[in-house]
Order: sequence, then C-alpha cells, then structure tokens
Amino acid sequence: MSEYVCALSGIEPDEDDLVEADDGAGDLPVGWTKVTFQRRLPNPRFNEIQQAKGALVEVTLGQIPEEAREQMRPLVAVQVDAQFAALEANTEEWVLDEEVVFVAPPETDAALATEYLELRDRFGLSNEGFKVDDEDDTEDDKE
Amino acid sequence: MFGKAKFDLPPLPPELVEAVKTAMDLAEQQFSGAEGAKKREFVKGRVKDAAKKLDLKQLPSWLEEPIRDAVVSVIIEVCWNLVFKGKKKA
Repeated sequence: MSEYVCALSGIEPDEDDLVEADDGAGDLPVGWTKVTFQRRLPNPRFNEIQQAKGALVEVTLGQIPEEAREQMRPLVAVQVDAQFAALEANTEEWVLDEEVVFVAPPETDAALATEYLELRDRFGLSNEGFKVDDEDDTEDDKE
Repeated sequence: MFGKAKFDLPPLPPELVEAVKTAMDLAEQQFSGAEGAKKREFVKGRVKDAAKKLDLKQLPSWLEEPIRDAVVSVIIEVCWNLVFKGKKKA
C-alpha cells in the first residue's frame, strides 16, 4: 500500500506519479496536498516533576524547626532543583502531537474537489484559481 | 484547560531524619579526617534503607524512585547544613 492514500476519497497515486524533488515534501505525487496538524500540548511528566519538586520542598521544610524554615527555604529549593536537574533536562516541557493526511488532486473528481474547496474555505484559505467541473453536479446543486 | 498534576508527598517519617543524624555521627567517627563527599556517600548508603519505608504509592509510579533518591539527598544536605551551621555558631 502506498504511503499516500487520499483522506477524502481513499484513492492512491500510481507509482509513476511520485515525484523526486528536493523541496522537503518527499516524493509527494504531483497535484496531491499534504496536510499536517501539529498540536502542542503540555508534557504531563514535566508537570509531575514540577509538582514533585514543590511537594518535596514542603515536606523537607516540615522537618526543620519552624523558626528556621523560611531561612532554609532557598537552600532546600536549590537542593531539590539540583536533585531533579538531570530528570528535568531529559523531559521536554511540551509534546508535539503531529498527524499528517494527504488529499488527491481535486481536479480528478468533482465531488472530491467540492469537499477539498469546502475544507480550504473553512480554514479561511483562498480558493482562487481552483475550478470545479460542474458536469457531475446533481439537480439540487444546480438550483 | 490542561490539567496540572496534583499529588502530595506524605510527611517524612521522623525515623528518616533520625537515621540521617545517626549516620552523620557515625560518618564523623569513621571518617573524621575525610572529605565531606566521602561522609555523604556513607550517610546516603545508610539512609537509603530507611527511605524504602516512605509510602509513595499516590505518586506516579515512574517518579517513585527519583523522589526516593531526592528525599535522601535533600534531607542529608539539609541536615548537614543545619549541623555545620550549628557548629559554626557554637
């Protein structure tokens, strides 16, 4: 099965349609569209480390005589930071969720073109320059 | 919008601090002329067993060991600091 399957129509390109180009799009076939969804999210592990650090500072201070606690707080915080430095350095604060889908050339099918143009429209992208062949439109569409 | 981790650590058992103090006294006796790092290592080894009793079940499991290690190291550093501060004042 090809790497490229149209997310809207399910069609696949012919082997001959693959293009070798140096433009960062790999061998994306001519006329095909690559859609990348990237979503940045907080890394739950990074949050857990922060929570653990805060909690450790507090329980450690709990072992120190009350009159010395506030004076000792910076020292305890530095010690806790140092203990978690390596773990923190190896844990990204954010995770990037990435999904990629492909769409076949909209010029190949009127129904596909309609969906494709609607999607672009909903994302606020210009549809200027695209022409949809009306031949296959139903009576309803014509009204 | 994105939930923050929410958990607490149980209070440190007094035995843990006692274990640190006892181990520090022992380290002073056994390695009186040695560097602080050697004494710390000795104390750390002794206190690790006491730290195993820490109940960390409510923590995310992947954090249990790092926390246990950190508790030991931090409590040793704090005790060390308090003892030396006390000695300097005296």
